[in-house]
Parts: sequence; structure tokens; C-alpha cells
Amino acid sequence: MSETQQQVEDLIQSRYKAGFYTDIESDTIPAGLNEEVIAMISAKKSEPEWLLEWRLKAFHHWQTLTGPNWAKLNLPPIDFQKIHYFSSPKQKDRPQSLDEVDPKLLETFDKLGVPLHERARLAGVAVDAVFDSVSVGTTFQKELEEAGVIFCSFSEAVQNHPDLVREYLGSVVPYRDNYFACLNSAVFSDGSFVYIPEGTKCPMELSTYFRINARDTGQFERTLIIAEPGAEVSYLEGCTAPMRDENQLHAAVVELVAREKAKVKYSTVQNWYPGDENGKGGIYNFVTKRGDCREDDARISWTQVETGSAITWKYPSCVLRGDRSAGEFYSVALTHNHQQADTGTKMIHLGKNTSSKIISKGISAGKSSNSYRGLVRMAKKADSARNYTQCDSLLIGKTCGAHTFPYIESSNPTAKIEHEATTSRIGEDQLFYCQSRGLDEEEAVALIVDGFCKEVFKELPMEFAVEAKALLEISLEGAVG
Amino acid sequence: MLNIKNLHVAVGGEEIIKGLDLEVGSGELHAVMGPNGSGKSTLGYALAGRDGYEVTDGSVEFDGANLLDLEVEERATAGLFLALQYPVEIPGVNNAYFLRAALNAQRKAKGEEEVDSMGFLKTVREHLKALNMDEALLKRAVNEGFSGGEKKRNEIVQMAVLQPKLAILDETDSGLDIDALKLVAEGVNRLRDENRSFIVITHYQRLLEYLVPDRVHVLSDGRIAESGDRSLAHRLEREGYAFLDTAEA
Amino acid sequence: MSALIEKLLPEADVSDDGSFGALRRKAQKVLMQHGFPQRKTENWKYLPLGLLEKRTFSTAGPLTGPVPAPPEFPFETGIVHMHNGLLDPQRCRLPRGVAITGMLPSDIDASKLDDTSPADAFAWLNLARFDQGWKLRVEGRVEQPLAIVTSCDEDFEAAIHPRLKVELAEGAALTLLEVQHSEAAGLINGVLDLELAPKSSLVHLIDRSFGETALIQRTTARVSDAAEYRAFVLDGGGRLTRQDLMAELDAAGASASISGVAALGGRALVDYHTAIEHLLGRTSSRENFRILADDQAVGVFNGRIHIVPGADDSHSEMNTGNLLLSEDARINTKPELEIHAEDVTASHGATIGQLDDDARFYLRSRGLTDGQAIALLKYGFAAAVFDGMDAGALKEWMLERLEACL
Repeated sequence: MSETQQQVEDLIQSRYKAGFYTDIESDTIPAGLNEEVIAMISAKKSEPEWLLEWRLKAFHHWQTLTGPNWAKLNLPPIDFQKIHYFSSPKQKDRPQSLDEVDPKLLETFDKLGVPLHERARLAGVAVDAVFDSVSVGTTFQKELEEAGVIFCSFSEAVQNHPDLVREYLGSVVPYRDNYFACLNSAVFSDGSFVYIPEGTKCPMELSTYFRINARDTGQFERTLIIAEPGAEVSYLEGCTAPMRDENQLHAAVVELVAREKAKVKYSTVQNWYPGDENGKGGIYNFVTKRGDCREDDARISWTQVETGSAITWKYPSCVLRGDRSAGEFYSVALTHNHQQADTGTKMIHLGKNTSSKIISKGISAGKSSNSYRGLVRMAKKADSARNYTQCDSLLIGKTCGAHTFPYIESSNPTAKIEHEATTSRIGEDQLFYCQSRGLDEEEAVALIVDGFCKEVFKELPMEFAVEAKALLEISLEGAVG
Repeated sequence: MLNIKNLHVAVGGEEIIKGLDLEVGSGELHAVMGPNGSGKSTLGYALAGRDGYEVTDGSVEFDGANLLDLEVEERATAGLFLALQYPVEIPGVNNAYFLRAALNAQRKAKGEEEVDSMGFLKTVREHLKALNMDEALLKRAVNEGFSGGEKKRNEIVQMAVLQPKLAILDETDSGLDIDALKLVAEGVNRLRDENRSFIVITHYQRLLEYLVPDRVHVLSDGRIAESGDRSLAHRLEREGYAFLDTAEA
Repeated sequence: MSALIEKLLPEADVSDDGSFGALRRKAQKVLMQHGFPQRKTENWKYLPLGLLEKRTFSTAGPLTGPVPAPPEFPFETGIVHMHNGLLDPQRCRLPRGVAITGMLPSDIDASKLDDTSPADAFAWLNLARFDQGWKLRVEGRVEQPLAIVTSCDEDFEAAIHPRLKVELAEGAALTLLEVQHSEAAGLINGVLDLELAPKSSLVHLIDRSFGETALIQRTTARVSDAAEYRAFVLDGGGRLTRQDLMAELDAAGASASISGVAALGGRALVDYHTAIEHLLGRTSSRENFRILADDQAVGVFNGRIHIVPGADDSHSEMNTGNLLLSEDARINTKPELEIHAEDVTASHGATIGQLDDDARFYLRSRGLTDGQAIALLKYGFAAAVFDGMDAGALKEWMLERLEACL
């Protein structure tokens, strides 16, 4: 696509600013899914034998499964044989430093607002940039190494820290967990790996930026974060893809392990291409994210701002195993046009005095459908466990839907659960009030939506909160009037 | 009537009352004043026997019995009444039903006959009227949807019905306007006689204009820092609690 | 699954007097195709049907022995007594304004039953196997309540499929009281259809407790223009009780409220699925459901509010409170909102917890023993559900029944 064409495209579809395509030669495995393809992925990454075996086990199990049909989603059948399971930008050898990375790639990330080169990179945030199936580079490697923190692509971790990977891979999300997690386990290509040693507070924010570029490619990344006792880390991921008429599949798995007194904060700003206003194209975003508070006093917090994807199916969850461990879930999910989102969380209370908090804000506009689906479970031994859940939905327009499906289960007589949910539209009086003070309708809606989401935005690292707010405004363009 | 010696009370492992002595004779009204956090409410709860208010040392003799040996309801039956600072709302439990159940439980424990509902209603209505409360409140759930002032007055109605030997009023005056305050004070004064004692816990001396105390105690950091007659309350009003710091320094 | 089919649909051919043939054949076809709900069937996930699989059910015969008298009520009431699933004509006492007739095929609307999954299997089973269907027609404002009493012989071990329809004519009003108590190890698989014509009003009380008897009951109220449906449920538990209670608000101004309490102990397993469908605009609903679970009891409440596209200016409020009173009791609850319209307000709140310590202390500080305080708080927690009932003998009777359940 030429520059001019690009500009025209941009003008037509100003709403999705990350919709461009990078013309770069890529190395792509032929479409299709079978043992051979899996062996090829594994070979390309020079993986050890055990990992290939694990992939194949997952694949064999996946073949026995049928896709989920319970979520409130209208999902056309996916032809898994038409997808390319591996695509990487062509490069002679893996670049040793960011200086060796193809300038086109650097330019792409520049354009996305995630500069990787030294003079422009975000201060205080280390970035791992994943382009289609592989990581193209990680910033601030040296600084992190000094602190003892390992932050690298998953492939590098397999080469350099095989024991850690082997110990923890699949320990939070086993390959049998669900249909898409199982598929991911068989074909995952790259992703990020984080290891924070005991007692270490990670000196900067860690961030991964995922970019789908190639056509007909699925992205199956896998992220693994391990926080040893007393460790602390804040991690953020962002995602975009070019605009295309076809749907593309993104089926990631994220595993978090928090040991005693460790704190992991995981934030997502998800802006995959949502499809056009007629519902054509867009990413199918089927993600399994789970954190394991494996020991006492561990804490895991999920924050997500979901504005993209044609279909989202994701439930970042916490298994609260250790006594006094705590889980949090803060979510803003905005759907517009024909987007469908089914998202929420699971809080599984196993330990004593565990606590969890869920704040979910859903905004639906256009012809979209937005569901919160969540589970709070108090196991028999979860003495004095506590949960508080607040789910609010905001409807903009007559043709959208907002749904709430909370599953609440308790087997412990000392546990306490409180759940509240509301659904409403933006009030005429609120709009009138804002307009009478000189705002136009779109500004007024943006202001009200921003207020509606405030509780969640304040959980995001500062620079991303600003981005999230802007993203929401752009995504809502044309939603009123 | 009440004899507290060297009382120590801990809440959640933290000591709040740190060696308190207090003696209240029959027919006396004592005011306990003190700044926020001095342990006033803790004293009330500890005497009423609330869970989580752990008496770690000391003794309390009430009407000849060891109060600390008694369960919450046994203390009530023995004649101790605590008017709560924040009376609890109990949805679904009818106010009149609750009051009658409480009265009958106490009478039963003393081996007395249960009251019949007609006689009971008549008495309660009189007390309600005296406190300028709407009779409709009897049909509502206990304290549910009551205004702050109604809740406080409802405590006084309960006290009047249950006729305790010792009533502890925990900041019953807070949040009341002047008219309600007078009604509450009158309600208390009507019950005063030589066999009934009162401990009035309050932050301000306003209520003491209407309830003339026999003794005034100032609680500070879990101990009685100063005791005196009525004039002590006036001094507190003028000077505030600041003088306590200077006294200690 | 197939085991249940064999138990509950024993003959290949469904017995038929001719007129219901087409409906019964369709029902049987759906059942043979999809079978009974599994653990994975969404609306049945919390209700293990293993108990039914373990039992053998005889076929119900005609009433032979003496039919026990229905219970006495402390108020004047009409009575329709169903014993062993069959109407006892001797004891039928209808208030003025109510008429009873046999059910006709045109009285049955199976179009809303799901024929693509096992979700509505028991409703299909009822259709395939029901013996007698009855229809009550209500005209005008009926002052006297009408009690529908369900009972079974002590050794009754059959599966029965009672089917009843109550039609309220325009402007009619009725208080319907379902009283269901049975100990025997049978299965009652009932269907009750309630039709509320414009401006009619139905107060629907349910007082039920079961021993070993399994109950699977599906109740649908269709509420039209300016009609009002109010349900008050008191469930004292049973070995396996499943109630689907649906209100379809299909005209502007229709309203529904569902209030209920389940006081469970022993090995009770009680699963309430309520659904309020706002099918048109300017409809409103309220729901308040409480479960108290003691011993090894399991209580399930799934409350669903569905506001369809175009049902603008609809309002709905749902509340569910649950008390877990013992180590081995369990509560599962799922208050769902599915909203497709504009200018609506919908909310729900759900809690699971214990009796309030503050309240317990407060009551004891007034002289009540801990036991009395607990009993009173349980009662208060549950009784609040009946606040919306009109004062009178019926309300007092329900509250007495509640006290007895606790």
C-alpha cells in the first residue's frame, strides 16, 4: 500500500489509527494445522525436545475438543486449516541489538507510538515489541539485568532459562484448560517472559506491544510472569493490527505466578482492529489470562481497557491459593458498531482471609453487544474470604446490548460476597447539563463516559491512562446523534 | 451499683482502656466525657459484653455480681442497658415485636409472667408519645429507615420499657437537634430514682444542661484523667480538651 | 441420560386420547433427540439429576384408596385438590367467578419451548406424558382465594406430570395459593400456565415443602396490558426441587414482581430459576429472593431479567440475599441482566454472607438469648420478602408458615 493510499485510508477511517500495514518480507509457514506444522514452529525456534512433546500433547488433546458455544457471542465457524500459524519478518539472524533490527520495523513501532530506539523510547518503561509471531527487540535489557530482572521474548527464555520455563509453563493455565488455550499451547509462537527475583521491586514498568501485520495469520503469543517471594512488577501490554476485510485470530495465553508477598500488576490496553462499521473484518480475540497467588499474602491485579477486536472472549482470573492473598480486576470494555465483547473475571478463593474486588464498566454503542461474565467462588476452606463486585453498564443508542452474567458460588459460611450491578443509559439531564455549559454532544458523551470509567483508569500507569482515555474518545466517534 | 477496678480492654489486640476505676452508686448519674478516641464507646461495649472487646485485666462488680462472668443477654437481664451510639438496623424484624420479645425474655429470666400484648402496647404508646414519636414506627422494622434522631429516641423508648438498673447512654445526644435533645433528657429524668443509675457518655456538655450529673469524669487515653462535679463539664466546654495535654505535660 | 429416558418415557408410543397426538409426538421426538439436561447444560449446571437416575418410577394408576382431606386454612378459601397427580372431584370447591374445564390442545403453546437442546426436556416430558390437563377460567374480581393443593400417598413412587392453566379474563382478579407437601419418593413434573388478560391481577402464593419427593415445576405467567402479576414463594426445601418461574410482560403497562424465600436444612437441594421477560416497552418488574441454607443444604437462585430490543422505558430491579448457616451448606447464585433496549434502568444486587454480628449483639444486649437472636434475625431476613403482601389473614398465615419452616 502506497503512502498516498494510506493517507486516504486514514482519512476515511480516522477512527482506527493503527490500521496501516507494513510492507515487509516475511517468512511464513504455509497455512494449515497438523503435527508437521507444529514441528516446524518448534524447529524454527530450535526448541528442546520436551517443549515439542508438550506442544504435540496439547495438539492431540485439542483435536478431541469442540469450540465453546456458551458465551453470548455470534461466532462464525473458524477454518483452522486456513490460518498461518507462524509468520516472522525476514531477517538473516536474530538481531543482537536494536540497532540491527530492520528500520521498517522500528518505523512501524514509531508510528504506533511505541518508539524502540534509544533516543525516543519511553522513559521508565521497558518494551518488548512482538511483530506477528516473533519478538523484534526488547529495550532497557541492560538496566533490567542489573536489577536481576529477566525480561525477554519467550523464545529467548526457552533458550536461556529453560529450567524456569519448564517449571512454570502450563502451571497456571494447563494445556487442557479450554479450547483456545489448548490451541495456543500447540502452536504458540512468541511472547514475553518476565522473572523478578526474590525481594526485588522491578525498577521500571515492563511493557509488551503486540502487532499483527501479515495477512491470514493467527497470533498465538504466550506470556509468563514469575514473581518470586516479595517481588513486585507492573506490566502493560498493548495491541493493534492493520485493517482488513477478513477476520484474524488472536489466541493468547498469559500466566502469572505470584509467590509469597509478591505483587503483580498486569494492565492491558487492547486496541486490535475492531472491523468496519458494517462488521466486516476485525480480530477475534480469544485470550486466556490467569494469575496464581500461589503463596500467602500474594497480590495480583488485572486492569484492562478493551476497545478493539471484532469479538473478544477473555476472563483474566485470579486463583487465590495463599492465605490473605488478594485479587483485583478493573475493566473498561467499550463496544461499537458490530463488535461483540464477552469479558469478565474469575476469582477463585481457596485460601483463608483471601479477598477480591471486581470493578467492571461496560459501554455499548451502535449495534454492539457487551457482556460481563464473571465467577466468584468461595471454596470450603476459604474462611473469612471477601469479595466485592460492581458491574455497571452504559447503553448508548437503541440497538446495542449490555448483559451481566455473574456466577456466585459459596461453600463457606464465613465468607462474604457482595455483588452490585446497574444498567442505564446516559441521562438526558446529564447531556443537557453538559451542553448548556457549552459542550457539544460528542464532547458531553466523552466527558460522561470518562467519568463512568474513572475508577478503572486510575488503576492504569499514568501515561497509559491518558492513552486509554483518548482511545475511548476515538472509539466513540459517531456513537451519538 | 457498679464498681470498676483497674479495667483493661483490648480491641483487635490493641489496648484501648488502660486501667480504669469507676464507682457509680445507686441513684447516681455519672457523665463520662472525653475527646474522640479516648475509649468512651469501648467502655460501653466492654460493659455490655460485646465480642471483640476483650477484658485483659481488672474487675467489674454490678449489683453484687461479677459482671464479666455474664453473657451479653445475662447482663441485660441483670439490669444493664446500653443505648448505642449507632443503633443497629434490623430489616424484617418488627419493632414492637422485638421490644416485647426483649421484655418477655428479661421477665422470663427473672421468673416473672410474660406481659400481655394489650398492656404492653399501652405502655409503649405512652413512652412513644412522651418522646414525640410516631406510633407507626412500632410497625416498622427495628430502626430501619429511621432518621438519626428517631433511632436515638427509640433507644430511650427501649430503656423506658425495659426499666434497667443501670443505663449507659453512649453519645445519645449526638446528631440530635435541641428539641429532640430536650425530649431525650426528659425521658431520662423521668426514669431517675434512687434505685436506678446512669452513665452518660458524651462529647459535649450540652446534654448535661438538662441531665444534672452527680459526677463528671474525663476519659483520656483509656484512663480517667480527672473527676469532679458539674463545674468540670463547664470548664471542658470553655477550655476544650486541650488542658488534658498540659495537665499530663 | 438414556437411563432417565427409559425411566420416564418407558413406552415407545406415547399414550394418547387422540387430540394431543401431534404435540405428544413432537415432544417425544425432541426428548429422544436431545435427552435430559447434563452438567454442561447451562441452566441445569447446579442441579445434579443423578438422584432421579437412581430411582425407579412406577406408572401412576387411578385414585383407588381414600383420598386424605386437604389441609385446613384459617381463612375462607376455594379448593382444587390434586392427589397423586389427579384431580379429586369430591373436594373441588370453586369460589364464585372461577370455572374448571378440561384442557384442549389449543390451550397449549409449545412454540416457546426449546427444541434444539435438552434445556426444556422436562417441559417436553410433561407434554408427552401428562394425564389430565385442567383449565381454570377466572371472571371478575374473586374475593375468596383459591387453593390448589398437591399431595401424594405416603408410598407414592410414580412420576406424575400435572398440567394446569389459569386464565384471568379482562379486569379479573384472583389470589391463587399453591400448597404442595409430599414426602414420598416420587417425581412431580408439573407445568402451570398463567394467562393474565388486560387489567387483570393475580397474586400467586406458593407454600411448599417436600421430603423425598422430587419436584420439577415450570410456571409461566403471561402478563398483558396493565395487568399485574405478583408471586410470593415460601419453600421449606426438598430432596430435589426445581422451579422455573417465568413472567412474560408482553404489553405496555404490564408489571411483575417475584418475591421468595427458601429456608433449607438437611439435605435439601432447591434450585429456583426465575426469568422476567420485558417484551414490550413501559413494563416494570421487581424481584427479591432470599435463601437460608443450613446443614448440608444447597440453594440455587438464578434470576434473569431480559429486556428485548424495543422494550424502551422498562425498569427492573432484582435483589437476592443469601445466608450460609453451616459448614456444609452451599449457595450458588446468578443474577443475570440481558438488556437490549434504550432508556431502561435495570439493577441487581446479590449478597452471600452470615447473620450480622452487630445485630446479634444488639438483640442480646436487650436480653434475648443468642438462640432467640439468631431465630429472630433469620426470621427478619426472610420475612422482609413478604413486605409487599397486602396485610390480612393470608399474609399472617404465610408468616406463620415461614416461622414454622425456620
